[in-house]
Amino acid sequence: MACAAVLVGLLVPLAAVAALGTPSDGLVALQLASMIATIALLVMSVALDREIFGDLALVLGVSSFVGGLAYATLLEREP
Amino acid sequence: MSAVLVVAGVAVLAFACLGVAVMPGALARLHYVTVGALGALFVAAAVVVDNGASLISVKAATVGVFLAVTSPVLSHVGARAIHRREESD
Repeated sequence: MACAAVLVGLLVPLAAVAALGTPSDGLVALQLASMIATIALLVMSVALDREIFGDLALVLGVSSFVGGLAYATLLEREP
Repeated sequence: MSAVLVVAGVAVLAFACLGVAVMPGALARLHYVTVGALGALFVAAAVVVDNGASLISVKAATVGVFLAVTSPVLSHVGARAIHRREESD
């Protein structure tokens, strides 16, 4: 559970980078933050003995991949 | 064994997070996203080692492999988008 707390804490600097930096910095921070959130859900699934969080981690992993692709495509198109 | 893998994975993810926060420029920061995939793989391996043959192990292995495979793809697409955006500016 301590590891999950550390992983959630790692999201704070990434949120700061996304909020204060350029849109390109936001894309990079989003990619790493989604990966950390996925792993945090997986760790919470084991720590709390609730397998539903494992399903959430799977769904988040797939949807964050699609979201990252969409963000990158929109970033490329934006003038 | 699983504790070592979890600590190593969280340490690698923290290193990647530090890199993204400290490095100047989006392209330099992007390198650390792929480093983070290694940490994700470590944590997923720790869950598999800790739980043995079970459903959560299958989910952890799926998540770990998926993140390891898609992270370079996302980095490539992101780098291309950032490069083209910087070219047009």
